[in-house]
Amino acid sequence: MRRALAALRWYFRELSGEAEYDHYVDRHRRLHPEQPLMTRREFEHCRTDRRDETPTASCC
Amino acid sequence: MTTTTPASPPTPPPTTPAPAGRGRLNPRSIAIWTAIAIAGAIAWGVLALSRGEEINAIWLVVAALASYAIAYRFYARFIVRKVLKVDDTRATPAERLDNGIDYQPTDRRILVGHHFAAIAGAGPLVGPVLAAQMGYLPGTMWIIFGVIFAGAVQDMVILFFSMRRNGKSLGQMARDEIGTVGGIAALVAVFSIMIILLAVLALVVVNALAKSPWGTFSIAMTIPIALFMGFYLRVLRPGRVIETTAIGVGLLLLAIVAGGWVQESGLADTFTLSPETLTICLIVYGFFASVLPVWMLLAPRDYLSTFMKVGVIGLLAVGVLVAAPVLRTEAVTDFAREGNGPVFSGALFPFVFITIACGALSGFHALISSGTTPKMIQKESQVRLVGYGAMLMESFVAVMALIAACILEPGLYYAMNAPAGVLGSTVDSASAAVANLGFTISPQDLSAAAAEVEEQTLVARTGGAPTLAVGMSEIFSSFLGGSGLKAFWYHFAIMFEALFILTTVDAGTRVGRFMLQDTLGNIWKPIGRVSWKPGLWATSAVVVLAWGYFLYTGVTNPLGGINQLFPLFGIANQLLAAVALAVATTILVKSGRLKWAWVTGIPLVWDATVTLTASWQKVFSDNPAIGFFAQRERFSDALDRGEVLAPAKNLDDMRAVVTNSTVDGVLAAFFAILVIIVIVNAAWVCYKAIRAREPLPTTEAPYVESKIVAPAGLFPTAEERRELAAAGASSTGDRT
Repeated sequence: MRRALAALRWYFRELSGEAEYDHYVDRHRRLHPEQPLMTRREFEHCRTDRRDETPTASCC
Repeated sequence: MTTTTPASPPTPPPTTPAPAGRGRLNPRSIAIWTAIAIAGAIAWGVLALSRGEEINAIWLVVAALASYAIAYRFYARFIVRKVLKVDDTRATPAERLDNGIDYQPTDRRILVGHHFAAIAGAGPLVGPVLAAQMGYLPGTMWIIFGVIFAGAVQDMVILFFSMRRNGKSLGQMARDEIGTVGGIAALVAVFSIMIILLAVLALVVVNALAKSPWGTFSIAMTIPIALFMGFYLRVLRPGRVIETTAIGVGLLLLAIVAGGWVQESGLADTFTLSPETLTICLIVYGFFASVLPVWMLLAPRDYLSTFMKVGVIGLLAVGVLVAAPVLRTEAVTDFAREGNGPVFSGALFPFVFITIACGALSGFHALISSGTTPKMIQKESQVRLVGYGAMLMESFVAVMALIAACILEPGLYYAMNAPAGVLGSTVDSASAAVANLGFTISPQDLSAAAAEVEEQTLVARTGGAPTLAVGMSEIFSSFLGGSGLKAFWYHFAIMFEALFILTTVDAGTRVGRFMLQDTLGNIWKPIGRVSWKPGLWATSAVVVLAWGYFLYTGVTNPLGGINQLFPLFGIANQLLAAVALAVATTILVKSGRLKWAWVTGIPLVWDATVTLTASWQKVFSDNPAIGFFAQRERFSDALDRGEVLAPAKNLDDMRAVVTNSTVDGVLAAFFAILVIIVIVNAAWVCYKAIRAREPLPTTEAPYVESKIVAPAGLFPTAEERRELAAAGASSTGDRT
């Protein structure tokens, strides 16, 4: 039961993009730990503002 | 980045490549697949052979699911192994070019969700509802066989080829593989389709909201709700998407309930808008939504509409299974044979195949399959789940939309879907018109049906959305809340469709603008810069006015906007599919796989036949109900004589019909010419490739060995579990 809930939570967080920041932190620590880390606010702003430049279509 | 990537660089990569020939059939799986095949065969038998008896919708569901399962297990696997020759030892662009932004290996279960959310929209909900005028059988067969042999194949193959080319877009691949002319034709096709698509979708919303204060109020409220969510997500709680969406959905439900109160109150008149006013509102909304920053309106709307989309589709699937409604439509109607149906004109062939595009074969998907998805795949073999699997899911949505339309009494269906010009504006005139079509519904029943969902009228509510909403309210209220909640469910369904159509209008306008800026940027640099505001506003305005023009002509067309524009949308969408399938076939031939070229070649021939026949009839038919130019001639001759032909009411109407028919006819011809250019060009390239002595140089990115270990399907096989364990990753996917 608890495992199922954890899996559900994992799925929703991944699907909604809420987990993106965690991935960013992981990746950043692994690849260039010496550089400053963006705060969640900065990261989310970057992530959303990127869509202003490259729009993607959803379908009919 | 992913669950299965070794956590630290020194971990040695797994040396054993993914075995190619696993999964021999054992007795247990033979038994299971035989049972599925028998269940499917029985369901198809019931659907095809029963005449005059009432058929339960469950048979449709069984036929669909059994066919999908067999196609996914056998045909998709055959394509993946023999035709595409996926190689799991080869690193995907997500692995090679991983930058944490657009290229990143993403868990297959997440990616199939993203991909499905991107391809599934209003299309699979609208087309099948309109095609119900042909009966349930033609639509069902095209949706199921079309997806198995054409639609899902196209999505998967394009996804694979784009992935092998570092995520190139369809336009780029068309240019590289077929040549400059093919590339330009593809680009023009994409832009025109975008415009027609946006106009048709906006028309669906206008028809659903016109004269409905309840619906109009609820949809209008989505704008402040989205703005609030955007602010909350930007300023108060950055990144807390789930929490924000939960609040948004709560407010959305409140807005639906409040719509009922508004309808009863003195505010009702304020929200009772004519189709023309709604059109102007939508055009203004489309412009502002597309120039505002994404975080304000589009991003929160996206979260809401994705949640509603997935939630409602799930609910509908459960509803059909629990309520097990009975189909009231005939298997094949007379309209299918004679081509004189009121919803859209033309005979079963070719018009059923362009009316139902999304759900069976949709060229639009090729844009998604060559957009973000190929840059996120972990393993080559996952194209089967993500490309083929997601399209099967969309096809299932189309099947359910067809069910929702076919459980309605045919009399009610035609009273809602025939053009206003045929039905008149009262229940009495509509009842008489439906009787003329050969069906019955009394004026009392028609009023009662409207009263039940608390709408002023259901007469001539074309566009598919209201019909689907009545069908869904029927299904939902049978197991959730009884008939007392019917009005709520009706407006819930309208909200659900309008919500994501408006999101598409916003996103689509942005994509169109981006293409326009990109193209015009080659001529005059500043306009290509996305940060230059005047350029942004000007190009946005051009795109909005382009679809706004078609929307306005659709709304004011006496012959019925859906009746006139939907075939154009279908032709445009299937044209794009022809471009995609031509690209895929050319790549197969050029890479020395001539013997497998039929896998995309047969769907291409079929699609081209359908699209070109439809265009031919739309351009050259001398029947004014079908041919745009015959229609033009009939009305312009009458206009010269100073006569007014029904359903036009005055000379202005007559002039409108003449102009619209001309524009639509020219567009139909233009689309057909584009397909012919692309196909002839592709055929020539294939011919040269076959004659070439040396194999042609590949356009694929070079081989790099993969270090990721990840399962191919939704559930890992025993062997994949062992590989995952050997690579030191958990198979559940939990990232803790």
